[in-house]
Amino acid sequence: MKAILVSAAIIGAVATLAVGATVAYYSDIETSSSNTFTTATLDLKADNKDGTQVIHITRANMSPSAHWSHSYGGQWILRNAGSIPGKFKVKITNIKNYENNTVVGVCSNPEIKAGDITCGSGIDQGELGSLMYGKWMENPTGYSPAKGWPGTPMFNPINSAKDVVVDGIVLNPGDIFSAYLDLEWDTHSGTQDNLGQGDSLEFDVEFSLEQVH
Amino acid sequence: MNKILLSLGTIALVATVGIGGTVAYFSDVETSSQNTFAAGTLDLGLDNASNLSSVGSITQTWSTTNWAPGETQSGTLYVHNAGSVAAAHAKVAFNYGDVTGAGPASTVHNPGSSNLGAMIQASTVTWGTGADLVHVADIEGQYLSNIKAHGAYTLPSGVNPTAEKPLNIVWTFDTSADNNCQNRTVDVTATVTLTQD
Repeated sequence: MKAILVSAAIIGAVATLAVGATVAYYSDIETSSSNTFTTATLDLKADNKDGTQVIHITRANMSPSAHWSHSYGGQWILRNAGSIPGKFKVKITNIKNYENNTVVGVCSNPEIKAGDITCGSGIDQGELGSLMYGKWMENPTGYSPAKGWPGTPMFNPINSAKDVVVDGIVLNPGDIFSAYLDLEWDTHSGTQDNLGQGDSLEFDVEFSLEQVH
Repeated sequence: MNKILLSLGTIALVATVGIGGTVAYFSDVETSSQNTFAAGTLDLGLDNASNLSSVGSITQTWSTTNWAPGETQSGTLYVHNAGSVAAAHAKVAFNYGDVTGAGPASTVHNPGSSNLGAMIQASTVTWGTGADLVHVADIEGQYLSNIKAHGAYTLPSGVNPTAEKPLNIVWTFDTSADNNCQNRTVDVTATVTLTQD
């Protein structure tokens, strides 16, 4: 009986080896390696800075003047620091018009005479933004739309520029572009300009660069 | 008694010799020689262009730099059976390590880890050429991260000996990729296997 069991075990082992051999057909493996997918960069720098702080321009003690006689504008140098072209966009946002009266809610005499009835502390109480205009140019020296800037985008008054996107310029990698916001207070008829006495105007300028599709 | 036994033994010996002499007729011997059993070969070769001499591995079938969302990258991996035995099946698997690169330069965006592998889609995948061209439905439309997780895919057909078949893949950088995908690199390895069975 023991001999029979040993024989059966040997047969089993041989059968197993035979099955193992059955699945060991030929095969070969090769690879395609170093398939690298490297993405591009799209990076706008305003005055050589990133982020939202960029630069603040402050103009004090402004007054109306003849057309083209005085600009309170500001200039930013934009650069495509990325590796692909980008569509340049700019918009003026977050516009605030303050009255800044000594006594909140009480208009100054010149303002009262000009018909000002909004002299509270809110961001919509002042009138300066309705008296000034803004115009995007390449530089402060004159009317020089360049690099495909669509005309000379103008907002009169500057309040009307709120959240309006100005685009049409493509900045290639390394391109540097000067954007000058000509901000002027032209004289108006009558006492209308007195509405802006003591007022202040604040706004943000948002530059962006989007991938060209 | 002893004489009787000796006589019987002598008879038996003579009889045996007599029978031996009976089978020693004419005979001849020849051989069937050089019966050789030569094993075949199954030898896979890869190339980035049609090449019936290719053996071994290859690099940079699909590689791109300065890649932006919406752009595509097409490449063809030619799978050559340089052996003498037909490969009944062909398989391909894709793998990649960590996504590398400094990421976006701007501090505006979250510099967190990139999901670049989930943004690269195998938008078109074909196997074969001409009338034998078929789309590889299992891979087509899948994103690289899912393709990696799946493991090996069995291609629609094998490769005959001394023949080749192209595996063409068009990779698309998904337009939903965010800025965290900027300035990143993913290094992909495609492993092809030919099997006899």
